[in-house]
Amino acid sequence: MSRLFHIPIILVLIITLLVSANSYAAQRVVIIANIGGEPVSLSRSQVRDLFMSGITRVDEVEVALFPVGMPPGHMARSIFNASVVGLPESRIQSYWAQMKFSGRLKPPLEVENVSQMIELISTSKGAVGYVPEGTKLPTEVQIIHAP
Amino acid sequence: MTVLKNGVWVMNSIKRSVLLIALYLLSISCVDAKQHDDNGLAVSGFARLVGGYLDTDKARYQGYKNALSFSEMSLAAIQADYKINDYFSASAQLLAHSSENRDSGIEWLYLTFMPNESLQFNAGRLRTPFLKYSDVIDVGFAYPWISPPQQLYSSILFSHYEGINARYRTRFNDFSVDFEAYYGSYQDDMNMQGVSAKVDIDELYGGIVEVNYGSFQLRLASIASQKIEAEVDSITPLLQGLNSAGFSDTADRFQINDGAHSVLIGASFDSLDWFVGAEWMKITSDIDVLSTLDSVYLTGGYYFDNVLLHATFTSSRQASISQDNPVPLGVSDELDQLHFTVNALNSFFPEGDLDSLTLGARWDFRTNMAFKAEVSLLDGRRGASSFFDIIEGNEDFDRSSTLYQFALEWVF
Repeated sequence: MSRLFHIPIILVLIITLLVSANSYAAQRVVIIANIGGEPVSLSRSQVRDLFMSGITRVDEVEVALFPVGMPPGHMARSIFNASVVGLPESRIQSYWAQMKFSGRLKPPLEVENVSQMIELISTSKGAVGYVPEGTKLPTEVQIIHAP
Repeated sequence: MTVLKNGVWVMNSIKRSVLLIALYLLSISCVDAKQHDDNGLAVSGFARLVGGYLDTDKARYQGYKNALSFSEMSLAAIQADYKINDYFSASAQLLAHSSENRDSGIEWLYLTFMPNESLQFNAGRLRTPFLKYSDVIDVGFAYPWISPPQQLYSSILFSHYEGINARYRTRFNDFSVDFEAYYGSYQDDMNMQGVSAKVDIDELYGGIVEVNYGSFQLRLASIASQKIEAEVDSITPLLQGLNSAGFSDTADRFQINDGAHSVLIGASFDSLDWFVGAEWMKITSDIDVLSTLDSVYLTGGYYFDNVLLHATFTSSRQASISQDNPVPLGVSDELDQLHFTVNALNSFFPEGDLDSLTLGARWDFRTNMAFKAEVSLLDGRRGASSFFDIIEGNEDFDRSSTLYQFALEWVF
């Protein structure tokens, strides 16, 4: 009796997991920047190197770029980690510990939410960030990559 | 002698405690400073609490014996970075270590000059970048293990140096490439598999090339010194005895006064839910008693959300040290004694043959904290030191044992 009772609970758990994994996958982020002029498109590896390796100069853009991220745990950051960086959050945190304490690099500046992100990007030339797909953008902000 | 040793130990404990308290106070008072990310002073730090137990009473391994100990690898450190202007910054890292074999104090102290964003020069007291994690060996949060593979990580020639380094980072198509070169000197006590020595190196140098392509990384590194001078206090009187009896060639064989170099090849691949990696290292030396050491590890891990399960196989082989003994036996009591001295010297220097399998778990329960647990199965060679520190009277120890460890890692 008690064992039979477990089956529906396990089924519900599995379905919940599948559904949540699905809804997670359905969400997307777009990479946005304030670089003025013509529309520019960057590759995934250019965006990744900007956020993870501090490579701020790209041929396509005249100004030096600087990356802006969301805080750990934010949905947009999780999607960015999965679709652009390709590493889990815990690995990213240990990577930044290594870079920081060996004097190599500092992690990107972080803002708390989407409105702060839009505010910062729209007022800083060269700023690059990410927001959920479909977020309304001011005219000075353009999408430079859609993973 | 024991009184003196105890006295030194007590002094070191006091020094460590004072340093720990100072670090703690500094970390509290600097919370405000930490908020300012770019200008002026930024303070950060890391700490680890590591407990371990070795299941044999015949030897020690990394300082562990068959009693639970927290004082082999636990530590706390604080780092202050001061941005002077757009081009210059200064950094200092102060570290308090729980082990008697490690000095507490200033670990890093350097000035950074960044003429542009792809070029960086550092000058001062720096940690040697050789293996993938060797310059952050104290920052346990930065790597998956509690104890990185000892056959490589405890065998690197020089952990730090005083000098300069230059880094250049660039991109070729989808490849990002880092070049690094360094030059400096080293004066310190060095501990190689239980043998401690005062080491003096006027010149050491090395370089690194790191190529990243997506999540794939290839690293090549080298380090060399033309002349390593080391004095092993515990054998100096024995060498004097050999010299005065006319066996100076034999005495010379035990002198550390020549060059050594080391090369490294590493590769890794990281993905969203798993990783694999390997490093292979070879130390070659003109010093008779610091013979060739070959070591390699292969590692892999899988992430289950915030929990990482990983496994690492490591193997090392060291070329045997010559067992020659030209001192005749049975001529006189004095010569007999000298003969046994040479035998003792022949077996004094380490032979690092050791295979090990490490299974571990890491749980990142907060973004800046992780809990780790690890089991290392160690299988050495009877007669070799195999990275163990054999407790006197247990020379028959089969060099196989299991190390259990758990750790709390923290960065702030």
